[in-house]
Amino acid sequence: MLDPAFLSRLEALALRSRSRAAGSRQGGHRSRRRGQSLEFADHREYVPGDDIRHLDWHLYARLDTLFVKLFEAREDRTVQVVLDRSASMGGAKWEAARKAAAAVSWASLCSLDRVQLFVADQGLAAEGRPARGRGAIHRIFSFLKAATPRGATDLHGATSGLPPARAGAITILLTDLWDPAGVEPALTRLAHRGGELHVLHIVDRRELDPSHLSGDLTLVDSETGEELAVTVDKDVRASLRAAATQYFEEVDELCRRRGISLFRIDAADPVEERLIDWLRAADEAVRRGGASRLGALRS
Amino acid sequence: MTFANPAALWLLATIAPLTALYFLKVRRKRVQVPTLLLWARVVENQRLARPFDKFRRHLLFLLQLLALLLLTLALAGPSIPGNRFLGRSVVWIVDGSASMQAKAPSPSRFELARQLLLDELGRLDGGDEAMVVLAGPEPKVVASFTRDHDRLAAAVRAMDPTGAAGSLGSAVELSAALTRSRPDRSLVVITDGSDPSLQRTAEQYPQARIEVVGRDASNVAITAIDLRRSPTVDLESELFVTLRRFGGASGPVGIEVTLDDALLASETIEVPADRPTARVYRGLGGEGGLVTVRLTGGDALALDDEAVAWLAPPRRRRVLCVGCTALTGRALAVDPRFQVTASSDPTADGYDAVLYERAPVPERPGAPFFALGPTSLGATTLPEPSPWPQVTTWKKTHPALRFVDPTGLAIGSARAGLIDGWEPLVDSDAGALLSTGVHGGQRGVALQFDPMGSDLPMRIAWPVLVLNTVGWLTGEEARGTERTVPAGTPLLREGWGRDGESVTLTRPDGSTLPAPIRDGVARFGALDQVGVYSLAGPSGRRERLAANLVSDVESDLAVYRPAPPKDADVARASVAGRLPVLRPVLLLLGLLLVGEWWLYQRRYRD
Repeated sequence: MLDPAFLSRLEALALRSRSRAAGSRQGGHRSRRRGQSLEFADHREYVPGDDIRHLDWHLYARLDTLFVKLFEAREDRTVQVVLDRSASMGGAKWEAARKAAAAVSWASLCSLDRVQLFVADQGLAAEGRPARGRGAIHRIFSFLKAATPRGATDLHGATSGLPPARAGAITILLTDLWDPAGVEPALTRLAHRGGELHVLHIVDRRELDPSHLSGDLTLVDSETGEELAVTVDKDVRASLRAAATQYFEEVDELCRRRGISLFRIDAADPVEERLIDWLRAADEAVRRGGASRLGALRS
Repeated sequence: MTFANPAALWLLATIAPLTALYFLKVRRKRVQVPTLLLWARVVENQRLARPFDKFRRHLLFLLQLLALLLLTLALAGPSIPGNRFLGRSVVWIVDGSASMQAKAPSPSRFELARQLLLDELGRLDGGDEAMVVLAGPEPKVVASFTRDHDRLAAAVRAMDPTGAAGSLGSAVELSAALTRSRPDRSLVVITDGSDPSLQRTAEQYPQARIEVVGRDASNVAITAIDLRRSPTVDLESELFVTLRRFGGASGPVGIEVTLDDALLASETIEVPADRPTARVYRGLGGEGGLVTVRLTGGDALALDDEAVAWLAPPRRRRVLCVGCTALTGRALAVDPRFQVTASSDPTADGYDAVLYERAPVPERPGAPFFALGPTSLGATTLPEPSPWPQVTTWKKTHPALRFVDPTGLAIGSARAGLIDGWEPLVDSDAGALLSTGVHGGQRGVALQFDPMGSDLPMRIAWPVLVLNTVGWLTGEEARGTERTVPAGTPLLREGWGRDGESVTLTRPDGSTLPAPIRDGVARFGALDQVGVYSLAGPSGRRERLAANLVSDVESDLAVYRPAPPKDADVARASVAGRLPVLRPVLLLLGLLLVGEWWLYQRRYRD
């Protein structure tokens, strides 16, 4: 599904989180908890019951008070990948979305994250239990290969079935954002459920600038089967481009207000390059935005 | 607005199926798109922004409907009333045939027509223009379109009827063609109804108003006259005359035959009603002259009461035979009309015709010639010999080939082929074998093979061919046919001189008419007077010929009134008199189609 060279490049990049992980198992990300790693985090006074192996004898010698050394716990993180598989995602967009989902999953598995893949249309279907370790990628690839776009879009309804996100969890939504009910309810719910929300907006510029369409046409909605008689000419095509631009601006504004990371991928472009761009951009955002909240700590 | 072809309006019925087809959207292509979210927004915005968008969406269809309307309109032949500011255009076509000279009623039908025309001229508005056409044997424009009514009246007063049968149909056709571009035009035909084509003309041109003048009258006429060589007595001729009574009851008619004022015969014969009566007068000879046949007693039409025929002097034709064989000489000797002189000298001065047998034809022969097996005509070389040519076709109506059957001729070789400017009379698979034409200013006939190299001299056709040809070349045949012709016949004379010279025709009324010779032919118009004409050529050559009415149609003085045209024809005629708007409609249609094409390109192709 993905080029080996591209997979190698993904290994070097990891999806960074602006918040610390709060997993239940030891992982590759910094945690708010103090744990068993070699990285020193803090001191606190000894209380009975503390592991005396963690007593700082140097401080006891100088201060005559018992202090216990606290270390950073290394915990895993859950990455939920939600792939919109409604009929509108067909064609080039579906190929791009599948590749992006596979790439994100691989990058997360390489970072010792737990990856759980969902496909959404009017409902939500999980790939299986959360995957961990690089070996799980084959299972994810197989699932993605077997999946086909179908049905109508109901992002709000479908995402309501997502399991709760722990702190530090990342939710990645791959969708074309064509939802007859509007995308605001779905994005709002996802943004408020905890963790981070990344929206990879999969678009196809050929459907937004349909120079191949002209004359008297009956347009059929691929999801609902609804028909619309339209005479396509130069003016109509221009209006469609303007409407698309306006819609994207509305989505951009919504994501900005909800603190959602939005990245647009054009299916007509090479997906791999765009994903690398996205991961680097996300990393850069964590570096800049995360410094104020988390310091310069890497997850 | 009126239509020449209202039936074409039925084409409008196709609007219904066209509309049905359009709105059934048979042409809409179904295209699947991921979502209609944006499309619906675009369509809604457009509806709000452009309330006439629905109309605009159907603009091409509306243009197609408009194109169909215009096409229907064009096919229906629309017209609108002509511009009264331009005035009317009136054409009077006056029958100038011989029957218009009938005194039925007195003074004559033509005078009645003239008076009628002058009366109508007086009723013209100042802005009206008019033209007068005289329908004689050939249509003649007496006065072309003018608003000068005085000039028109003067032309009408000066015009005269002809003595020949008329051609009313041609005159109306000419007038209609001349007035086609005029918006408000009318044709008026003034006739006595003698022309048999009048009914057809009335149907073909229902817009023409036909005014019939005259009344029925009985008439006895000479309907045929001919002079033929006597089959029994050398150098004598016989006169054939046919009489006929048109209308009225059988009765006696006095007839006189004179030859140059010398009375040859006078008798009274019973002429039955509506049945030809033939008379033959024999023993005409002497020095020749003008034979006149006159009916005495008088009737409504004098023109057909007298007929003349030119009797040529019965002299022997002098024929020079250059290189003639015994067979050829013997063939000529049996006919007393010819006085044959055998010589090896090709100079033909003083002879009526020359035979060149296997002898070269000089560049300028002195008389009409018959060349037997020539190799050249002056500087013109005949085609190379072809072996065993087989006769395929021949011109049976030519005088030289009368009673001659050349089929199955065995010819060793012939210089068969087309001689430049000559007419083939006998054709073979290799080309022409017998041709006629003009060489050195003389009429000639060329037999393009040596008769002695064929079985032609062994056939009965041989002396017949020789005598026919020599007789035709010497003008003997012209005595009975070409020199007595029906009035109205166009006159042509060939071989009377060189190009640039002219032949002068003196008409029965004494007027002269010169005709230049072009391509060896002097062409005169139709002989429109009855009587004796004289021709004078540039080299002093002269000829007289007689023209007679001899027309059953003109002599029948029954007045015919055509049936009134049908309503539909009248409607079409009324359209014809109006300003046609076909061109503007077609122009609009063309512009519309161009606009539709542009719109289509702009909407769908950019």
